[in-house]
Amino acid sequence: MLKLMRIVLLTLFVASLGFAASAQDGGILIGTNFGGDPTNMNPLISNNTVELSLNEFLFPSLYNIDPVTRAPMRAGRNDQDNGLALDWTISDDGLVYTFTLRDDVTWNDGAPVTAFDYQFTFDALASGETSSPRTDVLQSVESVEAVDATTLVVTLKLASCRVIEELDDFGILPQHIIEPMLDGNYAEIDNLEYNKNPSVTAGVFNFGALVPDQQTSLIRNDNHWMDVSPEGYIIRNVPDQIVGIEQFLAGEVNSVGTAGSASVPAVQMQDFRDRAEAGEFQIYEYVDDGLTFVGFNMADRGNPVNGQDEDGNPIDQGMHPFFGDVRVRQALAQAVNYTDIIEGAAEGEAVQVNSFGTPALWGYDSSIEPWEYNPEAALALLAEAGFVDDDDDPSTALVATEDALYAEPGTAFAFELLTNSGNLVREAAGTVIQDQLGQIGIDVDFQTQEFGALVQFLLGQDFDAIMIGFTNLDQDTDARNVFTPVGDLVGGGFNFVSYRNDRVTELYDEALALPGCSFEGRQALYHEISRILHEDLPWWWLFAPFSMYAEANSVQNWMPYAETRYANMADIAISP
Amino acid sequence: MIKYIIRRLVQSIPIFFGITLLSYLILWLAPGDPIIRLYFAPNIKAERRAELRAQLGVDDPFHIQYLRWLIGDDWLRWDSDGDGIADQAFELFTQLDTNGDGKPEPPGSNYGILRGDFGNSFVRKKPVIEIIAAAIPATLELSISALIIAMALGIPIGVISAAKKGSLFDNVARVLAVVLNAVPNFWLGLILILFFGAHLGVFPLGGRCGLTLTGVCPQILQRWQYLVLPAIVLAGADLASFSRYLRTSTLDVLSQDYIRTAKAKGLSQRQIDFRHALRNALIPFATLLGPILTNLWGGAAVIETVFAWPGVGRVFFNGAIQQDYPVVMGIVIISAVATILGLMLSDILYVIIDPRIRLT
Repeated sequence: MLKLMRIVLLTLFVASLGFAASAQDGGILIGTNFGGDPTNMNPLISNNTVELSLNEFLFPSLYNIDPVTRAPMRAGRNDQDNGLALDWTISDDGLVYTFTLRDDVTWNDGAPVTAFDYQFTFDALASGETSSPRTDVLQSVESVEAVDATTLVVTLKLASCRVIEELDDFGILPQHIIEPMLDGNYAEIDNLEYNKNPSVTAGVFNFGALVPDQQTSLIRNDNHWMDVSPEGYIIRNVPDQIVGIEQFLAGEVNSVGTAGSASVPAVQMQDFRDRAEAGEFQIYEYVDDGLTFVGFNMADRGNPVNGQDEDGNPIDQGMHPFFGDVRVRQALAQAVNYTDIIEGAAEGEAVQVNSFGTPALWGYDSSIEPWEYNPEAALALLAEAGFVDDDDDPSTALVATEDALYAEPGTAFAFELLTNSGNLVREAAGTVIQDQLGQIGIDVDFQTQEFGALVQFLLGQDFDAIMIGFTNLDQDTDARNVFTPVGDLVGGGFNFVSYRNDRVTELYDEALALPGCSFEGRQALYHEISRILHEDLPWWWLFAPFSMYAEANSVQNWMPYAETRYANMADIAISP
Repeated sequence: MIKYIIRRLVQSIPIFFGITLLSYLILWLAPGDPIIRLYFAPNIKAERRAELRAQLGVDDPFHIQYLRWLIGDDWLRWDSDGDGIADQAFELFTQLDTNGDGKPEPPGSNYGILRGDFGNSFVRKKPVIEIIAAAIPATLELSISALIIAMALGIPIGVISAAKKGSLFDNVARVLAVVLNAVPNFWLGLILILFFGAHLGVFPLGGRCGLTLTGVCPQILQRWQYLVLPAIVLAGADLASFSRYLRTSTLDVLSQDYIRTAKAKGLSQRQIDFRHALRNALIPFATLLGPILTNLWGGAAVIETVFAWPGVGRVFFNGAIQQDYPVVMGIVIISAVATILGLMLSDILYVIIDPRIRLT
């Protein structure tokens, strides 16, 4: 019996050796994907994180992005070396952009990538017949015209300093392949077999295969203008993050996450730091481009209405009994110990933020002092706003007096705080907030909701306060859809807190149409917005998490940046 | 028998429609919608989300969505003169121009599930039937392996437990059966992955095949090691049920007169247990056939998720998370039909195996 067991275990061991070897041969980079499959690779309509990250290795884009500043680059190399623009000029009135494109980039079937490809892709988007979500650009662009193979002229309806980013919001499709499939009907783009198997591409990799719920592979493009080192890139689909981390530690995969995601959980970051220090693998850390916040509903939740009518005139939305008063919002911002939230909920792997954005974004003003824990000041502000402890019993809620602006006298200070279930960091942060506000006499009914239900409350503006997070924020922190009345639409708008400050709206408009679009000028305007939002607190600014890439030591020449895991994919080599 | 089968099939029709209606209603009542999940971002405007919602038809009232899924929408709005533009509409349910833009909406192109059209996945943008068909081999592979393990171990354990009632073997088997039934299988799966995969390194940590650039999955004999842990975990609960079931029915059989007769004839205990007792103890087992057949194809969403096994259960799990109604409903319908047919087959087999039973 013992002998038999030995034979079985030996067989299993040999089999496992064979397994481990198969994953590492030939310089193949292997990552893990904890989300859904990349089921739609068409860069015009693809949407999930893994699709967008793979698109960058397959499709050309209008220009390259500086991996350090995340700003558009002229004629530079970027992470995937797919940018076409050598240079561009802007007319004096800011309405005409003329791009000069490279002439040495080809599709993998040998056809050149030209300005006509870009025009075709844009025209498909502008048709409105596809399911592309990237229609922001249509607000300001009048037309896109390819003058010749290397000259592209973009004409705007109105000057927009954001248009340069919006023009690069999608990869470029091969016109000579796609157009004949459409029969003149752009709506067919949604249904192309090409979306699942993009055979003609122009990136460092060609599309390999998608095996649903298992893996997606990209194969080296030997016709690329650069010498591409890795033989391929495989994204392994692992639905359970714990299992994915163990696969990395066991050497079955080279990286935790995909090119577009970091994915080391906060609770394991310190352990990863220690192991990296010991030389077990490589890591790279940065502050994420997203933040977690609590949105205060400033309008009457009992009667949600839009912020303005069709002519832009304000609509009376009523006021929330507590959060309609800025003093109450400021009191809450001083009533909670942020160290407790960051250490207790986010495992210490986050940084407190002072306004909209995170230190990773150039529109964020790091010089603003964040709100500090000061319960005495919070109570004083609440008293000034008309909320007092009328029975000298700290265990009962504060009540509104005659001085309260919007609450009926005698109203107990109690509100509902919602967040999405399953997010352990937010659930823990909500518990800290509930506990510490309770200590100054504010009753918080903290509830977790399934994400779909939470979004219904949020977009329906049927809530008191809601804790949620936004990620992938724009570098300039432009958030006009979030903090101006144009986004205050019941059922669909992202100004779900019904915030209105005319100065903020003016500043957003000014930053959008700044003559010359100078970086310094726009940054100053966004910093001014940051200071106003810091004081007004339409959102209660909490924290931005740290992110960590983890890469096996076998991945050589690895050059990561914040939000750019592989800045030099073509040069990466995987040692056996 | 024929009359019985026909009667059962006719009785199944309202059950089938009841299942479809209730399932669709539950999905429809779930908060949120697939567009919110796919396009929840501030830079996507409310109008664009509304357009995308209209493209999928999830902004229609419940009865329109349900009817479209059940019997299609080619009869709701159609093109009678063949110019590709809808010119007729069944006005009780819809209009030619539903969004009021002055142009008729396109003719309906769905045939509905009753005509074999399972629709297209909202997320994967491909026919649901193709998605399910692609996942079935993996599910069958896992389910059949688990069933073989459960039967190969559960049946003898049950018979031996009954034959040695009250012995150490019996007591240990009963305790293990309770433990296997009680332990959550996702937890057991993770523990086995961590121990045998991460710690000992003898099995891969999930997946069905090795990773290759071509995505080709080799024959099962070349990748059997991927199957071992998920099959064991999936077999666990069935193994416990089978052994308990067999123990009870074997004990019942062992008290019958013909077993006493067999003993009197001088047959060995082994011959009595496995030749006479087991055969008769297996008769009630036929009632399990229906659920077994249903489980065979239905897979196990949790196990498939923990082990990254690309089967039907995982397709269902992802579909439910993403509110991909056509995918979820497609799997629900096939499960419902499999359950109805499986239970009917159980009843029929029971009659065939045990002549004392009569169908009425």
